[in-house]
Amino acid sequence: MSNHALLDNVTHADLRVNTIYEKGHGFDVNSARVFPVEFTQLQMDYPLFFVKSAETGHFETIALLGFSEGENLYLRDGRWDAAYLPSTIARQPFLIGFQEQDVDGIPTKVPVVHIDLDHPGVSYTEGEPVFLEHGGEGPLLERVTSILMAIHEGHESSKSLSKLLIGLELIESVNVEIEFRDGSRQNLSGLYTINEDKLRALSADGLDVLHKNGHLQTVYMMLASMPNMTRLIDRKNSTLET
Amino acid sequence: MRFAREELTALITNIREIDDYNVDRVFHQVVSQSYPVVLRGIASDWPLVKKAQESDQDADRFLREYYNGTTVHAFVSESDIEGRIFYTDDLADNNFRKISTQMDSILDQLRENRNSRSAQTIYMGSAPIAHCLPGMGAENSLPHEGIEATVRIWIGNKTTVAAHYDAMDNIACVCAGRRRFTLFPPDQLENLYVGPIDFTPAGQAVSLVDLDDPDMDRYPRFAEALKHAQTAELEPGDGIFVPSMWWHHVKGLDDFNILINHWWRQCPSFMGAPYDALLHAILNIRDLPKSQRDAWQKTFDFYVFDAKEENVRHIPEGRRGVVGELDEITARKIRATLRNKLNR
Repeated sequence: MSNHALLDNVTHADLRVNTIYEKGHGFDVNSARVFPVEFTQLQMDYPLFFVKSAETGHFETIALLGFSEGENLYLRDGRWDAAYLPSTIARQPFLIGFQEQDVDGIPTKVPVVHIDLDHPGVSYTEGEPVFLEHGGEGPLLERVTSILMAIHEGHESSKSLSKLLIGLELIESVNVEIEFRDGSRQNLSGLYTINEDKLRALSADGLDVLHKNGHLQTVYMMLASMPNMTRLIDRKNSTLET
Repeated sequence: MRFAREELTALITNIREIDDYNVDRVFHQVVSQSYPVVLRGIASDWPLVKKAQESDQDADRFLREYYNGTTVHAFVSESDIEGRIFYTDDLADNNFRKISTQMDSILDQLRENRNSRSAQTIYMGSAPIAHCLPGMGAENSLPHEGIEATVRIWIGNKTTVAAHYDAMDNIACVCAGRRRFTLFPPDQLENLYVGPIDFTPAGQAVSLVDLDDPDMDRYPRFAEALKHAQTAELEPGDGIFVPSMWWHHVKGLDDFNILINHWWRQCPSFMGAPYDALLHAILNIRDLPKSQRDAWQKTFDFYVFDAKEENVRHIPEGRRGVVGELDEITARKIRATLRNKLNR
């Protein structure tokens, strides 16, 4: 469920955001869309994968947060149990939208802030105010605005990464089969990762293209994130009875 | 009380015409005097004007050759607004729709309307030529070397834009169709019954009086404004200088009108929009107690409206801050301060 509205300081004057990192507060997702610019921080805590967008056919990058639907293993004791929050989590309940405006006579799509009024974090009594007393932007909104801009730019760099890696044939699908300590099994499908063999065999030209587009680091950060898969399984196991 | 169109026309004097303009220096020439002038034939050798003098179809074809396919904004109205780009009667909305479209579909529609004598209003205003008709400006604008002018094109059928001012100086040249300009000096503000300044039909506040049929019972002071009005009917190739802040009512008289205008400012680009200062003053000054407001009026006069070097001569030159000379650096500092202070 979502109810998106263009944020404005009159309609939403008294709006607050009360972020609670617990089950049932809007963060029950088992993956988060992530962008190359944040991979250095993300690879410390999250396993990073590609998924294929049914809409665009592009490969998009995600951080895996859990195994079954709605399972977020980073929600722990009312806090987000990692040093860095993916920007698509940190932005909530705000979203970026576009409005066509006239800028010096030229029709221009201008990014504007929207809010999901049905997000459990939206409140009129608890949490951090969105606007200052007289309608100025509060610190929360200033922070979120810059996160939204980074996400906006992230979409572009994500597309270029996808095109580049498809071109170099560096993406392969992975089939993950996990057995948890209670004996239950889970099969994860639809995930893709970097083909390490092909990366090792990549020609100097191929490396040069990756490097020049700023994605050589992206690729290695994705590989570096793989051990986090074991840690994610540990997180899950710690919630299970033996 | 109502005026007939002929009576009105008889009331209004003609805008002064000059024929000793120098097309290469016209921007400098017109600003040396701060009143409007008509520049007959100043654009008569532009290729677009020549095409338009052949036929509407030739002008239409000429535009399509340059059009790069980019999206443009336009106003359309199916209803019977008689071309008056305005508000609905209750001022709750515009009486037209704003659309994003292609310039060639505007041209298609205009052509179709010419043939079918449709009452549909179409108006594409102030589209930058460099944005939608790249290359066309070279031979179809006035030479403006050394002047930072934005060159815009306006295409439509019979349309009327109510009297409004622009903050920029303007030389507008009619390329196709006839256009009537009716101008009022800036000091006629109080007699023009201006509508809301922050919700406007096309970006600028407009006079609510219908110049073609003024309701003198409702707008009695408009009779005074008419005494100061000046008018001119322009043919393809004619230009007009509309000084900054002069109210201008503009009427396209034919089924196919094209106008190209040049907007420019006589100030450094680091200066912002005076309108922003007006909003700021409404927010922070207008509703003060009268004694305080009067004091601020004097303060504004001292630092802004009658600012002169002698007012601050007692402060050592390097220590004058924002009341000293305004340059790029000071402008940056003011902008940063205002931005911070606004956020509360």
